[in-house]
Amino acid sequence: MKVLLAGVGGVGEAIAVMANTRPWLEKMVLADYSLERAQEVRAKFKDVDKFPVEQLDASNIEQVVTIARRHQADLVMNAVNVEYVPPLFEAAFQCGCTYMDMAMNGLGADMGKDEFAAHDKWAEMGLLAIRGTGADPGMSDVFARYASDYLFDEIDEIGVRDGANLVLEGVPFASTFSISDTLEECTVPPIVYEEGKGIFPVGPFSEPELFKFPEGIGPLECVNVEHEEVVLIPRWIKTKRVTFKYALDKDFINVMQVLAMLGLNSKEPIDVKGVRVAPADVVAACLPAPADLGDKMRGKTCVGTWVKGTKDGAPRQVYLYQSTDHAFCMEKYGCQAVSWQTGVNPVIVMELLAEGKWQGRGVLACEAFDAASYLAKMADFDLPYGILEMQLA
Amino acid sequence: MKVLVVGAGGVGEAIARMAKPRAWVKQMVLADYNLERAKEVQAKLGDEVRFPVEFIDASKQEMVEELARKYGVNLIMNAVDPLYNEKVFDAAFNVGVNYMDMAMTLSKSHPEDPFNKSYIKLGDYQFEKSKRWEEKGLLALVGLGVEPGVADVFARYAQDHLFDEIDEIGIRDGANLEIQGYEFAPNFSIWTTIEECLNPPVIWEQDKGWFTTKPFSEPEVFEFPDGIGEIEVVNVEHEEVLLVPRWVKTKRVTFKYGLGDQFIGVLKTLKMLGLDNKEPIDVKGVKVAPRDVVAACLPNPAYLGDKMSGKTCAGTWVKGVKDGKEKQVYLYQVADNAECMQTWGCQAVVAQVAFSPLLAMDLVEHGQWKGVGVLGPEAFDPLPFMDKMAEYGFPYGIKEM
Repeated sequence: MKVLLAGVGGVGEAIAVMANTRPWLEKMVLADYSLERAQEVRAKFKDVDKFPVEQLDASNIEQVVTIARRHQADLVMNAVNVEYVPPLFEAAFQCGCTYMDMAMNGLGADMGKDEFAAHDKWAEMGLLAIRGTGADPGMSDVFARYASDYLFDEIDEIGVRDGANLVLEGVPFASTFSISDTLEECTVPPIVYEEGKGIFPVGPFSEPELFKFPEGIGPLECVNVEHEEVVLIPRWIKTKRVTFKYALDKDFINVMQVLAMLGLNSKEPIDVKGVRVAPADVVAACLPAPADLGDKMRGKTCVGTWVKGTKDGAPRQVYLYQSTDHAFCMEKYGCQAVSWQTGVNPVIVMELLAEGKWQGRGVLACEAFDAASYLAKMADFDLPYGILEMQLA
Repeated sequence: MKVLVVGAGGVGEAIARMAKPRAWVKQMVLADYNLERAKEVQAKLGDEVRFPVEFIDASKQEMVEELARKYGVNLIMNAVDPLYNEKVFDAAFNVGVNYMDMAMTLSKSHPEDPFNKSYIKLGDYQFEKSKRWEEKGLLALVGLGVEPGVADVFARYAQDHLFDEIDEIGIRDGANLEIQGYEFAPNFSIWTTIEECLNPPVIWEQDKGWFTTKPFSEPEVFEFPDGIGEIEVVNVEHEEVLLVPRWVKTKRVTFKYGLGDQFIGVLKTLKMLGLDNKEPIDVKGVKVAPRDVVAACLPNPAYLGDKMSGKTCAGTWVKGVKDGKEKQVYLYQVADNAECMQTWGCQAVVAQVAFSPLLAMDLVEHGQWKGVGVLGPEAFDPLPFMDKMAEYGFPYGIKEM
């Protein structure tokens, strides 16, 4: 498989590192707006021919098409900020590539709408796009599908819960994940899905709940955050309710609120003393890059799917999860935990596609595919999952 | 008098509007980095001959000098962010004209002990050149807005007329202004506000001289007059602490500002994220200072007048002894936004800052204030200034405490 990797930030690096361990990978083009960054990542690999670098402006469809064709790519892997989904999606279609991403554009219930609307067009051409193939969305959606297929007869609620006990030393403030995407998801109204009501917005940081994360992370307060699973899961899985809650600490929430209040979360360029610049990009530039936080971090991060329903007539609750230890992935893969946990998942999907275990046409998401074959691969990718049977009160 | 006003922001506009009815102001050149803005102010004044407009880049000293020479001005009035003070100040010296500003050259924190020791202080750059200004027979009147400015005149007045001995002079600034339709909108230059609020505040004591503390330190509740009421005020770096002890005998000088919890929270967050940085950084191929981006995101205080309501108070709290008895007074000026909007078409905070440099120009023009060198407002006789305050529409009050 030949992959055009658009974006070699923290997650892109993890994708390349994991893909490098797989036999089916013929080539992965490391394309980034910063050629230096792409070269820095390539320096990690012995077989440099397998990882050519390209300077890429992801907003330029023509450029993406040219580079994809130059390298005869089979697949365009989108690992840039979510705002570049439309040009990359279109470019993949134009050059007949499979398309994958890890986040969806669009607000609230409209997340991913434009791309899903192109489903028939893609299907007719025999092309496949898989939306949301990271950790969450991605692995969390696979867990939902697995629960639906194997663990429950009927599902009342699917709640994705994401929490970490990561500590950053000597850094006054940092985001372990793209601050641009974090700002986006934390400053727009969260959404909830309910059968009969559909997808509806709720208050920012609403419905705080104490969720006990496994593997020593412990109880953390989680709040509603706008996330793709709420849109994706009900498209393929029968459930009465879908939520997404993120464990954000009070200081972090405060920063997000202040930035939103001042308009510093805006992605629209404004005039500043003769130059045009987007405030959100300035915030990102002020903070350490998530890819550079590796040696200052310790702790674990956990992504999972809490499913409530019934099995064999009895109520049941399980939390299917994956917990990544920072020290482990730093030592073994040289990547920080959050980036790595996200980046492994699209490589699993690529492998399932390469082996023909996942097949499809049109614009789909992880829930549309066989979950068992995915779970069967996880341990081999150093991404073991756990299933926690929860005590019922 | 012919004046070159560098910067036609909120305060620059207010100076020009107040100057318009004063016949002794022969010409006032409105120079701004944003020529459109200068033209907008000129249109409000309706007199292109007395108020010509010019593009200026205040970071380019030769450009300031060129404009001053072109119009043959007697005075350069600095109304831009204090980042440009050194250039504008030196330009006036080179051209050989008087100079006034409303904030002094910037400080630098002590590299090892920023929250205890002062290092390069506000105005150091200017005061070091005082001798040269004196020799050239030129006057640089620094720190003459409302705070610093009127507050310093009050301090001198207290010494000359109200006290035998002064223990402490504490400038206290508070407001009950509200801005409708905005969750967050500073009523003054956010660039300057970030600078003064995040720098280590400076304090002066007779035995210790100047020293610094942590930002937002020593919170105290101060009761402001004219219905504004009790407000929590905290230490903020401000010029008065550098100016007052040079001319007024006292044991201690502080400056405290009623910022409010929300404002302090925002400033702390900006600092934590590095968004207070005034140095340009690379952002996707362009160079831009994060602090300028913050300023660009927020509404321009010059346009907030009609959405604002309430009053702002600037004043000087003096503790000491008179006729053997302990005494405390608060000398203050309260500006009401509705009134300022009606009279000047300018919001209260900028109007209150703007009237005093114009009043000082008046005193210099008519020989009531005379001096050479680099001087603060407290170097002059406070009486003619205070006598004229009411005439300028900004009367003072004295509260016995």
